[in-house]
Amino acid sequence: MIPLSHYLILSSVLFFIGLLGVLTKRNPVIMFMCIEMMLNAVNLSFVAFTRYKPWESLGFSMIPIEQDNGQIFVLFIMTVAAAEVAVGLGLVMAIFRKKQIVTTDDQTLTSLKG
Amino acid sequence: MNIINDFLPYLHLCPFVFVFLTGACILILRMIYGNQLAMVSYAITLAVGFILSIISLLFDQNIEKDYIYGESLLNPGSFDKCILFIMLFVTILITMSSYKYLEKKKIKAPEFYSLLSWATLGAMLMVASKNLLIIFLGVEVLSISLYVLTSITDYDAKSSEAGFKYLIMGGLMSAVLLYGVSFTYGFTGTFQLDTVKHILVQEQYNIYGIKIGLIFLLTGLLFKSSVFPFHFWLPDVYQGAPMVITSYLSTVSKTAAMSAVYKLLITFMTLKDVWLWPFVFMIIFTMVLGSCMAFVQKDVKRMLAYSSMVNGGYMLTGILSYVMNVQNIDQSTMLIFIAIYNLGSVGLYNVLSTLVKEKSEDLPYEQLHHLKQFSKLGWFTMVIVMFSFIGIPPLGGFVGKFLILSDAIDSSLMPLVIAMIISSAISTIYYLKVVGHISAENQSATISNKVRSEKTVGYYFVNVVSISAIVIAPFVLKYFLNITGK
Repeated sequence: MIPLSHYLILSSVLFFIGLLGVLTKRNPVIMFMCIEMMLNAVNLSFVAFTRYKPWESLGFSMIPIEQDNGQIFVLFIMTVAAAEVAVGLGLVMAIFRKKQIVTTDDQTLTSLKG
Repeated sequence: MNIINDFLPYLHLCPFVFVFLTGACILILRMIYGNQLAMVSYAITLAVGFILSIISLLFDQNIEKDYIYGESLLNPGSFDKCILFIMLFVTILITMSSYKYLEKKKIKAPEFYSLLSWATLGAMLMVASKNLLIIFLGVEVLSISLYVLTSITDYDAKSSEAGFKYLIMGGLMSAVLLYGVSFTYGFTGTFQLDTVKHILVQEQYNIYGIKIGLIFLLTGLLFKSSVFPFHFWLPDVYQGAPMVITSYLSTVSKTAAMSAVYKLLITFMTLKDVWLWPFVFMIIFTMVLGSCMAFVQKDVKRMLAYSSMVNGGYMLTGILSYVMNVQNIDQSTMLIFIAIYNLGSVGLYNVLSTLVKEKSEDLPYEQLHHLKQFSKLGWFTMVIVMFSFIGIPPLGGFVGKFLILSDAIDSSLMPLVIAMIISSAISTIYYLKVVGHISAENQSATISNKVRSEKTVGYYFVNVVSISAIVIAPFVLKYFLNITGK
């Protein structure tokens, strides 16, 4: 059986690739893809944690009740990710209609300087 | 009778259900009547629904709870209920000041109000729950509604740009938050913050996994409360968003995020050697850097963005000094500061929303001239709110700051005390700058009758509530402190 750490390493690698992607890429669609990748990395770690239950071997005196299930969380994350992307693509369309270009470099999205 | 008995355990969910139904009702009204109804009728619908929610909140007595689902997921304590009350009330005030503004901006979208009520629902979930799943859902419901609301104007490219930036950064940070949730879950086996706290205290539990989880969780939530290294989105979003939404962002959204941070800090108190000093430094930078940045801004909205960041720093100081010294310090300090800050900001943005032009969301300082001539009440509100933010003694803002300072001294957080005093001193300058500009009488300025035409009932009401809250606060306070026995 593949140990839990393999899943965790894979998920952290995916997570940080996504993070780097959001911070460095300039194309909105790629940025959304990177955010999706981060969320899916989280999903992977949730599923792995729920399957392996690492807390059981730690010997708590108070065992947590089995009502919190990480796999249910995964469903919520997928729903939220879909909603976020729907709003995001709508916004990209709105910006495109006003400016006719969609990249986040110096021509379009720099009228606000934070 | 059986049906009633079935519903009894869920009665404490009424405040949330009312807020949700308000949003749905507005959409249904929109579907039936199309564009025939004026915006004010939707605003009234929202106000009525929220008043029902407040009433059900006041009548909820914590007697009967469903111990299987209800209690573990949504169980506001008395502190949380006060925060919920403040948030609902502030949202009603924002709604009252918004309809004329939306007409001016030609935003004929009743969806605005349903999104506003659902955003409030998200904020309520964040405040009322101690379950990471529900807190996460609250964060997302709040943020996704706010992404849309920020970019709701269709003439202004800046608005969409602000919405887009907010979306990308918010999406990134919610992924970070989730990663933290997954680690916390993985190493404790629960989403329930109470159980996590129990495990940490009873088992002397500190494994690396849960520390990593804590760092990610805090990062995600501190982004929402715009603390120093994660504040870069703040001025852009504040500037691009419609004035009403700026007001919402700096009051309800910020309060909800603070409340979530507070719950997190309480839970992870035993691991304080991991987070305490980084956190203190972040708060110091939030306050000092925030005031310095506010000082150099040329746009009032951007200045207020940094000002709200600074006030967030004060709130966090209060929260931290409570968390450090739970036995001796009272929660009412935080409540008083949050209430006064929220009501003051609402009054302020209410006046400012009458001053922005039709086609642009920018508000340079020069646009504040002549306010005194057009609306005496608006001018007076601005002056009172600014003096309260500065901390002139008889006003509410002074009381809030004073209580937080004395709490911080009690918990021996001297670096924070010094930073807070420095930042208050700097903030005096830029708040007085606003007072100077609104009192200036520039002969060549032509604001026309715009402001006069926008004085609605809501405008007067919000101003009066805001002024009276700030002025009366110190007198009511004595009563508060007597109750809590400080």
